[in-house]
Parts: sequence; C-alpha cells; structure tokens
Amino acid sequence: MTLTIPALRARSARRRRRRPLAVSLAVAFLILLTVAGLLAPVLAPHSPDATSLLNSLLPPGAGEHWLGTDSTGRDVLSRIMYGARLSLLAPLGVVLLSGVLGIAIGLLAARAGGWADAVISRGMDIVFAFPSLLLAMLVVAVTGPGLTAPICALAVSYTPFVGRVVRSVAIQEGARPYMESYRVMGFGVLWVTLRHLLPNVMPVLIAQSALAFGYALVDLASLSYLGLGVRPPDADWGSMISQARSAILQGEPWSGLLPGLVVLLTVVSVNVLGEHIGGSIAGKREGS
Amino acid sequence: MNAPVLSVTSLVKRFGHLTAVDDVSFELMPGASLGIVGESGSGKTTTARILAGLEQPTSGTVTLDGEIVGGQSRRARLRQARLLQMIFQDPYGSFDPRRTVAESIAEPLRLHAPGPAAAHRARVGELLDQVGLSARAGESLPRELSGGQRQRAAIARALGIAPRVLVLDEAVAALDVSIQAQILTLLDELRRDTGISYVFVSHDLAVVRYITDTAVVMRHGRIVERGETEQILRSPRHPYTRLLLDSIPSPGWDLDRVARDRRALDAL
Amino acid sequence: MRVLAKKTPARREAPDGGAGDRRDALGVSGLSLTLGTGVPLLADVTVRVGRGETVGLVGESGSGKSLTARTALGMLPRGARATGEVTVADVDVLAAGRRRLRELRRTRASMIFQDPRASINPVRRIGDYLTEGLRARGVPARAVAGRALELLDQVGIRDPGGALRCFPHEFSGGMLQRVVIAGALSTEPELLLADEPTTALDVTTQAEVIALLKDMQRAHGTGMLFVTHDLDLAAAICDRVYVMYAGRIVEESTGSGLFGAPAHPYTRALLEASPSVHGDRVAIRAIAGRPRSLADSPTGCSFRDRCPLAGDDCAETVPAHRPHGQSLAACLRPGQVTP
Repeated sequence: MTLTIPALRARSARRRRRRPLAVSLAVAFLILLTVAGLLAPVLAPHSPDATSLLNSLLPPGAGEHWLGTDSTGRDVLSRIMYGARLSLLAPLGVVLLSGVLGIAIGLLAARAGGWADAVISRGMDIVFAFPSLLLAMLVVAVTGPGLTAPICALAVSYTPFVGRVVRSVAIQEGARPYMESYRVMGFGVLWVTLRHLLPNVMPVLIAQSALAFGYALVDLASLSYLGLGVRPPDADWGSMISQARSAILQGEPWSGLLPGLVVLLTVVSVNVLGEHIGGSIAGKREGS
Repeated sequence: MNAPVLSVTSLVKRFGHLTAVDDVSFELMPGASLGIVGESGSGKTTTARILAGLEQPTSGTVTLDGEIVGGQSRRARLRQARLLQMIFQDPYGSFDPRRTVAESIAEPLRLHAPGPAAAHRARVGELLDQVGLSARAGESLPRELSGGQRQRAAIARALGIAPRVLVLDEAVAALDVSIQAQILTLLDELRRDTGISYVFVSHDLAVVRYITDTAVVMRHGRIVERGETEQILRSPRHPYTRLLLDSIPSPGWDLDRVARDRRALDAL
Repeated sequence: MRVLAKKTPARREAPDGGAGDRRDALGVSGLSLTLGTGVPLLADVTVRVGRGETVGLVGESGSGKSLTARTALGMLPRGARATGEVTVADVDVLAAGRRRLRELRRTRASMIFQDPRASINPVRRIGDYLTEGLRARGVPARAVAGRALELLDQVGIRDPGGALRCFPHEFSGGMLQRVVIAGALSTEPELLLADEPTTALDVTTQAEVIALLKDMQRAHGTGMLFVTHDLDLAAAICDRVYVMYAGRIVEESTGSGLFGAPAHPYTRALLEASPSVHGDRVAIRAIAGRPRSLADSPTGCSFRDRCPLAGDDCAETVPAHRPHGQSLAACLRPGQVTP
C-alpha cells in the first residue's frame, strides 16, 4: 500500500533537480542585473552622469571605460547599471498592477458567468485591441513626461492579457469536482475561489506575467526612446538607446547597441524563467 | 427516534424543457441505507445533487432533521453541510490537487468545529485511522494515492463533519473489484459503528443489494419501483426493473430474455 | 530479468506450442514486454483465440490485459521491447514491418475501445467515418455508400440513411458503439479485439451491444478477444477466459468453469469480493492490499503478498501453470479452499 509512495517521491525529486541550462543562465543573468542595479553606487566604476567631452564615443575596452562611453563621454557600463533600477522596477510595477487587476477581473468573469462574463469579456477585448504604446502616449500627452502615468496606462492595457487567461483557466478549473465538493462541505464561493481556485490558476498566471514583463520592458524603453518616459538626468536603457541615435548615425553604434542587447537578454531571460516556473508548478500538480 | 432524518417530498427539477427529476419522494430513517438505482438520464444524480445543495429544485422540498433546507444564507449552508455530506464518483477530482490529504481533511474541521490546531491534527489522525489510511498516506498529495485510498480519504473528510446523512454518488463505480469490496465493507462498518444514514446512488444493482436496506428504481426522472432492496431483486414488479435485472451478466445469461424484457417495457 | 527468459513448462492447448497453429485467429506465446528503462510490463503471456471463438481476458487495472490486446496489433508502448511470439491470422506481428502491420489492421484484425466517442472524429459525419474506413479497406467508391447503409442496418440502427448524415454527438454512447462495431466488422476480419467495449455503457445498453457483438461474430466467424474487468461478463459470454494479474496469466478456464470451480486463489478472491444480484445475499470478502503491476510485484508468485494461502515456497519461483478441473492455474495450491 505504501510501497510506491517513496518511489514516486524519489522520481519527482529527480525530475525537479534536472534544470535546463537555459533556465540556469537566465536566472544568473537576472541576478546579475538585480545586484548590479542595487549596488550600482558601490560597484559602478564611474558616476553615471559624469560627462567628459574629451572621452566621448569611446569603443568598448578603451582604457578605464570597459563598455566605452556615449556621445557626452558618460561611462556606458555605469549607466547600464544605474539604468537597471528603473528599467526593471517599472515593468515590475506594470506586471504587479496588471496581475492584480487581471486576477480580479478574470476570476469575477469566470465565477459570475452569464451576462456579467459576457460584458467583462467584451470589455477586455476592446482594451486588448487598443495598442498599449498608443494608450501610454495619450496618457503621457495629458499628464506630461514621467514614469507613473505610463506605468498605470500600460498596466490597464495589459490587464486583459492576464485577465483572459485567468478567466479561461478558472472556468476550466472551476468545473472540476473539487470545487463542488468544497461547496457541499459548506464553504462559501469567495473562500473556495481564493483558497483553492486561485492557487491552481497561478502557473499560467506566472507564465503570462513573465511575457507581460518582457512586453512592458520593451514598451517602456520605447517610450523613453521617444522621450516620453524617464526624464533626464535619470537614465533607463530606453533613454540610453534614444540618446545614442545621432552617434549610431555617425557610425559609432556601441553606446546604443549595448543597452539594446541588455534589453533583449533581459526579455528572453524573463520569458525562459516564467515558462519554467509555470511548467514546474503544473508538473508538480499533475505529476507528469 | 422514529422521525426520518431526511425526507424528500414531490421533488421536481426542470432544465429548460427537460424534466430531469419528476415528482420524487422518499424518506430515510436514522441509521438506514437507501439505494437510488437508475441508468444515465434517470435523474438519480440530479436528485443527489439537489440533496447536497448543488442544485435548487424547481419545486418540492428536502427536509433534514425536521427542518426544510433552502436559502443561500451562510447559516443555512452550514446547517445543510453539517447534516449531509456527499461522496463523488471521482475521488481524485474531489480533492484540491495541491494540498495533502491531511490538509484537505482538516479544512472542513476548521470551518465546522473551530478549535486549536493540535485538536484538529489529532482528529485528522483519528479519521485517517477510522478509514484505514496510514499517517503517511495523510501526508501525501492526492495524486500519490491509489483510487481506493483517495476514496477512503474522501470518506474521512466527510466523516470529519459528522453528518447524519452521507450521499454516495456512484462512489465505488470507478474502483477495481478488489478495492470496491474494501470500500463497501468499510462503509458497512462505519454505518454500524456511527449510526450514519446512506443515500447510495448507483447503476449497479449488485452493489446496491450489498449496501442498502431499501431502494427506489428511477427511470426518466420518475420512481418506477420502491421497496425493500431484497424484495425488489427477488420479485421485481415493474418491467423496467426486470429489464435491469436480466441485463446483468451471469452464468447462463439469456440475451433473448433481455430483448423480450425490452419489448415488454416498450409496449407499456 | 530471469523471469522473462524462463519458459514455463506448462501444458499448452495446442501440442505444437500454440503460435504455429494455422487455424487460430490469434496466437500469443511466451510474450514478454519490457520498457526501454527496464520496467517489465508483461511476462510470459500465452493467449490463444481460435476462429469464431470468444475468449475473455480479465484483470484489474495494471494487470496488462489491454497491453496484451494492443500488442496483438503491434501497438507497443514507445521504446518497449517484446520477446515471444504474436501471430494474427498467420502474420508474425512482432517481426512485421509497418506496411505489413497497416495491412493487418486494415483487413484482418480490428479493435474497438471503451469510449466510442474517442474513436470517432467529432466534426465528421457518421457516414464519413464509415466510408473512409471502407475506402481504406479497398471497397470501390461506387459500392461504398450502399455498403455503409447495409452495415448500419445490420447493427440495428433505424433509418440508416439519416444516420449517415448525423454527427457523432447526435448519437448516444450505445448507438455510437454500434457504429464503431459496424466499422470494425466491415471487412470481415478474422480477429476482433474488444477492449472494454461496454464499460462506458448503461447495463441495459451493454446487454444489447453484447447481443449484437455475439450475433455479428457468429455470422462472420470472427475470433474475439474480449478484454474486461468484469468477471461476470466474461464468464457469461466467453468460451474460454484468461485471468491476468500483474502482467501474467494466472488462470485459464472455460467460461462456466470460472464460476463453478475457480482454481487460482486470485480468481476465487475476485469472485468472493464481487457482490451478486443472484442467489442468496452473502457477505463479500475484500482482498487486502491493492492490485499490482508487474514492476512492483513481489518475487515468485505475484499474488502471494495478498494471498491467504501463500507459503514460503511461493516466493521461490513463478509457479508453472498446472491443471485443476477445467482450469490451468499458475499456483502451487490450486483449488484449495481459502481459510
């Protein structure tokens, strides 16, 4: 009777230990970025704002500027490190906000059903169809540059992205017999939804949020590139690319390419990690 | 103690044009076991779901321990849950896949009998013991247990609330024969030890014969025959009951007789 | 893997070893199946189905009964290695190439499953399902429609013309299983593998579908391997019954002999564990523990950890099949009364 249980445990433990290389690399890269951002004042070789026209547009590896300098002679490495703070925090804000909104709306639609579900779902379709960047630009046009407004705007426009998935998984999960067995035991709908339905929706939610993080990072970088995001002298990666425009045209692409590469790697890493977390939670649950 | 613990009066349930349950009435005495027999579409499962409060009847009443159940208030819901619990066919599906069996058994205890965590832990241990599960099985996730162990766990969880009535909806249908026998004997012992009453919903007449004293046979939402289970099996009065009985394979199975029963029933 | 290599010196039905008998619809002899990871699934399974014979293969979950039936059509689990002999209508299944297997499945052996809805494409019409099968089996295009109507009529579907235009969801499970049976028997195969074909159906529908299966089988002379968990059903309709436990055949008996004098303690325990509607009401006796698969069964006799008769000698070797009454049982103490 109990013979197979330890065997099962051992098997699932083995499965958990086997982590793909891509995931390890992604985790390492994200930790590196976080540490770099947090400890930028200690670790950065230069002040991010120290200009030096003598040393402008140095290529990577030139003297004490490992990753070179931009058109006003600021150290690119130091600016990437300082920029990690806003570049990572702002999308995180978007993801958290849209996650909370998406869960609330998705669960509400799934549990209410009927016309309420129809109204919420159509509403989400409309918001989903509206380009997120355009919405963020419109909001910025009203409120002026700064990060708070675009974060909120992007959060709203990403809500359907999360909400639709939460809704469909919640409907699927809600049809499973254990939902009914909790009702028979006398538990209220709210309790069952929050205690049992929500945790079982989490795997998809995490995977979806990772995707949203990537999109938000790119959108915010685009806003900064357009000059609508962070205001100088604050720096994020998007504004670094933006300020490198003229240098790129002059044939000195480094100061723009490097932050662009960091954006790319970050988005890929977050997606790889999100997919892995989502997959392993689902695997732990289903046992296959 | 001669009042029925459960009585159902003129129960009707319509889904649009379809009448799933049509004027169903029965009573269940404390400590008794009633079988509801029928095939798919007979309305037996809908009846069970109404008893458990998962469906609202179109008309008719369900009376538990002398008081008509109904209303969506928290108080009404808790009272119904305390008096009547249900076991589903699929014991795997009826557990939250992310929680250990012990956690799942403890949860309704906390709702219905608030108390210190240590008392709940002790009670969970007792319940596991009562249904023949090891403490180790209690620490397992539902997917790590076999079908029979899960059904034991589901029974333990329901018993934790100490209901007067247990509704079992095809509770042994998905189990292997040898495991089915284990669950049936467990249910038998529990009824003898605790005086709980069963409403045993099943398509399987042999199982119903083993576990119930009285039975009703349902077809197309209506009760076509009722009485002592043994009496129904020995001398069925309704042609449908006869068809059901003759359809059960046995040595010397006469398929022509089944066909004759079918014609007799269609001629009604 | 000592067990896999060992040949059981049991008495066989056919004196030449079974598989070589050309009259048989199915001959499985000494079949062992092992996954690539070394997990054993079947050990020394011998099953024979004569032309026109109905043979039951009974067991609980994990016994390997469905696996045996699938192996007969060459459908092995991914990465599994099979040893022994499997012959269907003179085709050596384990040695046959893809083309040969396809040919075999198309014309000479059919299989029907528990859930008819899973074997019919839900977005195609019933007519498409039948004609597609008939075309694949080489029926000329002009004759196909007529043949489909004829088949539906044979399996007792009223208004076959209308049925051809129906979608699967418009049919009940019982009706759909009739359609599947019509398709399976359309080429008059020599072997029909029926894997729990009535388990998902209501009791009364089951009786009708079984009656149909038996009629069709009699008319076409098809040999049928009937896989089921239901001992009563197997005993009621089968000429011979094999009882499987943990990847091995533990008893072979005639259908009636199974109830009259079960030889293997497992068969007897199963009978004592199932409640019955017939005769006097008797107490059922549960079997301790749970059904095992071959991989986690004990050494020697697989059933010995649940067997009331087991002694130390049961652990030594896998018992050979020995005759007892109308049965062959893999037990050292066949036919002994359980204490």
